[in-house]
Amino acid sequence: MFEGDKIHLLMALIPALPLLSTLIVATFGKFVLRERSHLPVIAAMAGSFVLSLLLLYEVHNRTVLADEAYAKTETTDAAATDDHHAGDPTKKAVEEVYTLWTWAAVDKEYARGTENVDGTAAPADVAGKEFNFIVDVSLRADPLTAIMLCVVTFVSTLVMIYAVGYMHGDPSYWRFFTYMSLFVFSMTMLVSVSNFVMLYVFWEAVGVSSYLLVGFWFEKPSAVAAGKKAFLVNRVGDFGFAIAIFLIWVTYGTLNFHDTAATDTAPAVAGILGQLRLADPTLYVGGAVGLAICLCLLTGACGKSAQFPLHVWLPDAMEGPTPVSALMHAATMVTAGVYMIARCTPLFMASPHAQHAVAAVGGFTALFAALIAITQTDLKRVLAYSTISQLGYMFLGLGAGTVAGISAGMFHLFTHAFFKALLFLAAGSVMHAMGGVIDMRKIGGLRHLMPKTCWTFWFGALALSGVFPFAGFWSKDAIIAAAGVRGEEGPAATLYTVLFWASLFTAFLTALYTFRALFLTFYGRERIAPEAGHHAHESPSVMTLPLAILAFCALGAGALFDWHSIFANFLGHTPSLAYSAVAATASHGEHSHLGLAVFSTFVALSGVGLAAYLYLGDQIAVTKLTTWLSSPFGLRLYQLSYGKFFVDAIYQLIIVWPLQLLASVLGWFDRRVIDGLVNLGGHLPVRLGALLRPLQMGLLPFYALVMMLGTLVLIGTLFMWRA
Amino acid sequence: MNELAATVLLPLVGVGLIWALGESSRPNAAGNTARWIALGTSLVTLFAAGRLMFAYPDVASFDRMWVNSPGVQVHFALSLDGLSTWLFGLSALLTLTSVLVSWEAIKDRAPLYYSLLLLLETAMLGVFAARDIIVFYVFFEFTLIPLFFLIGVWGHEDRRYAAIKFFLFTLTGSVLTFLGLLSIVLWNFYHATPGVLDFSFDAIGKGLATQPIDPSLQLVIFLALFAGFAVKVPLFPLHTWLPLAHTQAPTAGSVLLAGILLKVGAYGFLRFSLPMLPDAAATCMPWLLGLSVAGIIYGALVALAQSDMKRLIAYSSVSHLGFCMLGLFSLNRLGVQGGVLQMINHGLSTGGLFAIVGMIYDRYHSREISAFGGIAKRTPLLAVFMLIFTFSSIGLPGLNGFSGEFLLLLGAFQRGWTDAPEAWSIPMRVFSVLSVSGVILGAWYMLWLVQRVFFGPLKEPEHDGHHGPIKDLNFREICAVAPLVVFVFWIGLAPHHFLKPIAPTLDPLADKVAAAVDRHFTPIEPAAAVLAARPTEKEAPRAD
Amino acid sequence: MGELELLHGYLIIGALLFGIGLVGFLARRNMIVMFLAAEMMLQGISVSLVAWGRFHNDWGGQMLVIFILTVAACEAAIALALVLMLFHSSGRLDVAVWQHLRESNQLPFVDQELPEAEVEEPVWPELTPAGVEPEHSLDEVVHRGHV
Repeated sequence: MFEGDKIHLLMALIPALPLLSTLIVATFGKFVLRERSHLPVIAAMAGSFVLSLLLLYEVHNRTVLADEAYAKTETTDAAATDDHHAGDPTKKAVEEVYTLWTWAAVDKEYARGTENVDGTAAPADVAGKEFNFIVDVSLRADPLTAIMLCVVTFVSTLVMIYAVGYMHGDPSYWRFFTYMSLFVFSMTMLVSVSNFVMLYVFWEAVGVSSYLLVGFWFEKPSAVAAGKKAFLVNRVGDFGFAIAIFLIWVTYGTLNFHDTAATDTAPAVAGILGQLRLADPTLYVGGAVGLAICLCLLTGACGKSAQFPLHVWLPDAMEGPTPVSALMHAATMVTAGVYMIARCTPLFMASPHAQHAVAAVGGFTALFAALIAITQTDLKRVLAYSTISQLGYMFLGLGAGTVAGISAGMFHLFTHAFFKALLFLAAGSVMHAMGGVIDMRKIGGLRHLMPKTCWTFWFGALALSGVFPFAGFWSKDAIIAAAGVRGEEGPAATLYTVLFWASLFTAFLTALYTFRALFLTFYGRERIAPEAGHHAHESPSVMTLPLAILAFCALGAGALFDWHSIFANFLGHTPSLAYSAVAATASHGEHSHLGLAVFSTFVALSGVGLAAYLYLGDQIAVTKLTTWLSSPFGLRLYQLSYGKFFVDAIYQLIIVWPLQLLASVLGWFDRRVIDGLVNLGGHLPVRLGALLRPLQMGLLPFYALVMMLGTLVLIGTLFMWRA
Repeated sequence: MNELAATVLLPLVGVGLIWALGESSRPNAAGNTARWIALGTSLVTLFAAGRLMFAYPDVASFDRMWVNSPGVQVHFALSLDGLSTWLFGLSALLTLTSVLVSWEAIKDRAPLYYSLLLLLETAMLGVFAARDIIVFYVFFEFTLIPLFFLIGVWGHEDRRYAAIKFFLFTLTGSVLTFLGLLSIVLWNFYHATPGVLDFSFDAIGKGLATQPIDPSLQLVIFLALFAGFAVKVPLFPLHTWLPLAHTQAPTAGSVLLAGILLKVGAYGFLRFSLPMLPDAAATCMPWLLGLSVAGIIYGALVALAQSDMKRLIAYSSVSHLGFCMLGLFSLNRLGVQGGVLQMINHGLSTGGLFAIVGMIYDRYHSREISAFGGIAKRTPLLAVFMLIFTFSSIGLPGLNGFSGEFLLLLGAFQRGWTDAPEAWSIPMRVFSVLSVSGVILGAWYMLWLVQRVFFGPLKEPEHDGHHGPIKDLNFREICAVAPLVVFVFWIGLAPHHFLKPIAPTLDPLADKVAAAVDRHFTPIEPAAAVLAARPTEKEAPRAD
Repeated sequence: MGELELLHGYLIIGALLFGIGLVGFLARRNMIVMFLAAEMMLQGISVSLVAWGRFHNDWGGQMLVIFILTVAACEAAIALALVLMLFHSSGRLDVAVWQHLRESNQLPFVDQELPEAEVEEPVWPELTPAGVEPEHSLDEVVHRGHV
């Protein structure tokens, strides 16, 4: 089957190229390649991107075929109802799985009972069966994966090109590209694997790449601490993720996404997100178990995607080089959580409360982070909180639980990758020119000095704020609309309505802080930081070219891919989203969200306007506002926001410090009490001996006496015994 | 000559050579000859062991009558099976590491030192290959003697105290264990093979298959065996000898102690306690799981509070062996396989960590964490290896720690949530969730160690500079840790390759104890009923 | 006298001898006397043995006694030689001199010294220098016990 082989080759090559470049640069980078270390990496990224496009094309072809198959089922069932979408949605599913090797297998491991861990009945296809534990390294190709791969490789290529200029002259140049290439390998594998264990593996792998890259300049203590914090907070999320995986195993008896065919020794096993299970919603477990699984998955996603309360690592992670921030903490790594929740949609559909939780977490985080971002003075931190906020939007979209919402969430991921990477790269450009200073209080009015950076930043800011026709408008608007639709009827409608209004307010704040940042950096009196020295000029074209490309993507990507819902339709062919329960939520007919569109643009523009009023010119009004907000009358809101709501301090107080105290106490306990007991056991014979020692007096008559007494005792015992 | 026996006894040949050739008028030359002989011997032994590993399971066993008086049968029997094979190979590998690590560090009485190392190697290989109780116990105790001298003579400040404490503590437990083992043999003598006191594993296995030990007696024997093995492992709260012994031992001593000798305890559990006393194991399972979880969290927290590098890694060993025990006492296939794999993984990663710390000590003569800072600048290659072993230790996927840890945590979770006894369901659920939190704590203290010692601004302890400028790893040191790194990645990427050969031995073992659990407790999930209701041809024959 | 009564009589004698010997061995400190006491114990046993032999009509008892006597003679020679050597070493026949086998941190056994008898200093009256009339106490002047 030539067709099958070609796609398998693509699937295997896309992560293999970055892996190969990692190995090449790791081995030869220090002594052979040196300043040319970027060459294998960029070649690998570009190659992966081209292959991703080919994979996308292949998958697209299959979706066309799937659509035809669906159309056939549709027409036959149309007579039953007059519902336009009454076909068999699982016919639309497109997936291809390629198993590389078996990672671990234990036969006949688990004899599933007839009940779940909470006492409810087990799904029909698993009850009473015996399962083998098999984990394969298997790759999959479906629309979701293809989209993610294209985004990841595209942004990676551009960021690598940018990094050539940014990291120029750094003594550890080769190490940077090794780690970046390792990261891209991990990320491509993360979106390509087809079971939970492998997902966890690469989940942690991107975590360790983050650790290495954030702590890249390891002589800076703050960078190292930030890297460790990132890894540890991710680990907390991974703890939840691991529990979720274990629960999935004991509930479903398998950890694969895809169905495993029957072999001679084992019967067919329906994968968790496989088509056998998707066809029948009753095969999913709801209730307490389903809720627990989904909440634990949510914890894992929160850890990776920096949602409240596990968001604390992301602003600190800005200690890393800016290309790292652009690639990982904007476009790719942090979107892994969103990807995972989108992938596990059927599980979440079985547990609506979990979906409400997802939406609530997302909406709350979006607002929370936006409130912090409006007072930050470090441009990268503003963008970091902006990322947290936008990820919150994505979670909100996914939490809506409708086709529209999920597609919107993923679409926002798609567009966000472009404009956020753009913004970060532009910030990096500013930082590069200003000699490492990114504090907006120390720099200003750079639009004449760095015109290209300025206009690309404009494009990014407009996209982020969601102004028509930039990319962010389409995706953010779709999310808000999905929340609104969800808030009209159905369970927890109030929650969604609240979230709807909150997200609109957040959109206002987004525009506000984005343009605040823009105006503070590029407008006003020109101030150049003293550290800039001779750097203070526009960045070289190797850095501005990616900016320009991303700027055009930020302009057009939204409109291009939302036209006729190309994106949403393509995504709908993913098995998880072709699931019948999800498909049932598809909006019947095209709702026109024109009113909402106008309103949200108005909201965004008013945010822009307010930012312009406050931050262009003399900034007298904003100084008065800040003073008022810092006072007790203003509830010290300014300090609260500037201090990031003191979440770090709270964590330090209730988690870190008590554990350290406990550690010291236990250390003392171990040394004194437990070891003391052991030493006591050692002293006991010594003491006993000291008690008995006086028997050895050296006096012969005494020995004789003892001997005689002993004999008496012996004889006496004998007599007693006989008696 | 049987290959297995030759491999076990080969290091003794090295000892003989050192004795013969090691005498020299020039003091340094004696040490030089000795270490080259030791290196050669360990390489040859490693090669031989490697051949056996590749040939496994087609390894010929060795069986010679040792004592054959009427009524007493002691065989000098050696063979490898699923439990012991990878540990056998690991012993040979870590001995090579220890020889290379001690190359420059040991100057005083070096021939004696290397002879003791080789003696220790024979003892370790013998423990894992033994198929007879007397042979096992002889080698088991024999591991203590060289180590006692290694710690007591070539150790650090507190070496005498550490050596004596280690020796006595372990010996106390081992004597009780011997009592337990003898009880098993005697039971066999009275019930299965009257008139012949047979010590070999095969005879005992056959005897117990027909006449299993009385459950009440099993409990007593289990506790006796537990005394010795739990001290060796070490299980909380019998672990206090470990930080002292590890800290005060010379680097090679720490590597071998952490890498192999801790596993002997776990191996003892798997070889004796679980298969021969399944009912007692099933009864004690919840308590042992609780102790393991306590060990995991306690070890991790106390490690956080340490200021001495080796002590920190020693407490991390307590934590990691807690994980192994958790897997073993889950009493299901996943847990046991994960536990066994994790034993190998821990040997590799902690052996590597101690080797690296030893290299730092060789350069700076200090183990105080607060005296160091940012030495990745000075010795980047050392930092790379440290990071690899750190991530291996904390269970980063892709490296070996994850493969064992994940399997055993999954096994423990399965036991705690679906196969738990009804009376114990809540505690066991709590245990299984708490044990996963060990991954967070593990990452915390190890990364904190790395952060303080390797990263940040450069700070080095005062050293009198007689070693010259501090250099990065030289070729010898790279050779010491590189084989470990190879296995770190290999086991991480393809653990199935290591699990498949040993599954045929471990699965029946796990099934037997799992059946005992089902006999003793009413499960919350009527899995027994499910299994009983299924057509029987699907079940593997359960050796009861 | 019946056999039994005869036996009893001899056993009592034997027990007496043995008892006196035992107490003597334990209580005396002179080495030669201790040896004598030990010999006495042996003799007591011998008497018992002979008595039992007569009672059971078994020559074994008397045979053993002959053995005992012989062995006692040899052992006497050795013992007295040892005593002689100990005496030459320390100059005393006191067995309490020899305490070298005691533990290192034990206090040695020291004979209690008799406390010295308290000899009261006679109180000599104080005489005034001759020729001077002493101060008379009022009491003496007023009350004269006897003339």
